[in-house]
Amino acid sequence: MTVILVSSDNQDFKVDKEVAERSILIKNMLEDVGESDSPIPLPNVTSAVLTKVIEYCEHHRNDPVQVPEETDDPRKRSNDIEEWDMKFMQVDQEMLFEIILAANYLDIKPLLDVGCKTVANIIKGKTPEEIRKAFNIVNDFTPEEEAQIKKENEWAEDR
Amino acid sequence: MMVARYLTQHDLTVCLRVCRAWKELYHPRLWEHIDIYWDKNETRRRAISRALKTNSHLIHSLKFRSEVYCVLEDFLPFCPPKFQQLTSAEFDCSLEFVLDQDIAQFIDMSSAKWQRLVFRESIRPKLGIEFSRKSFEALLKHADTLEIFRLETRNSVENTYIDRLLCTASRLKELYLSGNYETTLGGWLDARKIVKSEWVCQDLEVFHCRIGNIPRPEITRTICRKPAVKRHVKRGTMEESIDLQRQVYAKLARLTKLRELRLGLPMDTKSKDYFRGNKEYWRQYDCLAMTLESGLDILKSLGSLRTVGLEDMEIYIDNDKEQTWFAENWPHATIGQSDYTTDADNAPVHPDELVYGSLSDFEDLFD
Repeated sequence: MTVILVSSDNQDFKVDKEVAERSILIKNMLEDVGESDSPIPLPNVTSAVLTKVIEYCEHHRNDPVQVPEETDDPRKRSNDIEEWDMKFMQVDQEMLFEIILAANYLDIKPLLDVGCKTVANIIKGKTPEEIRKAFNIVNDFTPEEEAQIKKENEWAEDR
Repeated sequence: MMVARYLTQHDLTVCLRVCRAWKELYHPRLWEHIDIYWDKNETRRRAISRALKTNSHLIHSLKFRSEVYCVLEDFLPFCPPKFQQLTSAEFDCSLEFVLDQDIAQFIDMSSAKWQRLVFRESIRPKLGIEFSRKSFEALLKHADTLEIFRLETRNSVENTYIDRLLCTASRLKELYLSGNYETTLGGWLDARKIVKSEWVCQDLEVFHCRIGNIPRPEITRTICRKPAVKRHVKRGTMEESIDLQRQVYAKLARLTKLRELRLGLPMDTKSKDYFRGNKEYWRQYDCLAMTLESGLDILKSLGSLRTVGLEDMEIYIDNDKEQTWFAENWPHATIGQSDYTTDADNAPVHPDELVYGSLSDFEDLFD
């Protein structure tokens, strides 16, 4: 069985129900509506992003439903990303953030996790200046303010 | 922002300095789960104290690590009067001289409801924690929300408190009490006293606590060169023993979500505090027998078990009957057990050793 998803720019995407149901939002919609051929509008997702999201869902169509990964210590969560996902996430930053937003909206937790891990890996180990460069951010602190924040939080750095 | 979940505390402190918008975004994330390393540096202590007081309302979970002694007594004056949202705390430090009243004061500092409390002795495992009446009275106020309670250090918690916790903490998932093998005063559940109580913790996944005061008249071997009767293993008939054990098994059998069941602990025989014969002397003899004759079959409802710890218990399960039962009923479980002697115990006693730490030292303690 297939379903039709409609992107914000009105493009139709025909996908297997099983693939579409990787999105909990769509899964719940289909359950509520019951058997129906009517297309599902996704007004928050452009066709470019939806193409990527469907590619991800196709690749992971047979994955077991993710068990919530709740470790006692949130800081101990692994940032490892499997190889296919890593390659899949090699996109420009705008697309990366669009994918994260879409994954959040469509409720595809594994994709959201991979997206967030990718962003976290860009941040990790960098100085504030390197982070600004990586994300094209303007520093609106005065040097004194930045020094003050550093001083206030010095004790919280790794030991 | 969900990205923060995958950043370390260090990364988050860097993010704060990127720009104002990021500071706004990441500051609450940094404080939501805060990890404090406590040392003797006064300047650092004052910086932590100031930061804690400013941000106390943001903290949901607190991890505290230290190598300093008298740690809680030392840390409390630097704390804000209240943590409005604190529900989880983990102490990974020396718990030497951590006093009952200080623990109680700390527990009372949260105006939220506790879900998780962990005390782990990482420096000198020989020493214990005084988690006693005041701490327990404070803790029991949170029995309806408490999910994880672990004392991974020696403790002599009284039977009454452990039992009361199990009878009131309906959401409890982990109860881990290392106990204290060198005393019979506390740190274990008294089988005769718990059989009548009603445990409500149906979701318990980890149960680690000794259960004692069970007569074991079938133990006939010589223990530390004395007949077993000297260890009071015969304080009851075989019928009384089986009857009591069946009631205890029935209690445990209701905890169907258990993944980890530890009724015994391995003894650290490599420690310099280990003396020849310690393992045999401090072994549990008034414990469950874990044999089919004693009613083990009642525990077949615990099929989710992964870890079973019976290390310091006097049990005779090295035969086909029990081993087949374990394989059939607890297929995923690793059963930990060990003998009462170590290689060193078997070696001939050196004359010097007789002065200090040989079995002869224990003989007076026996009666």
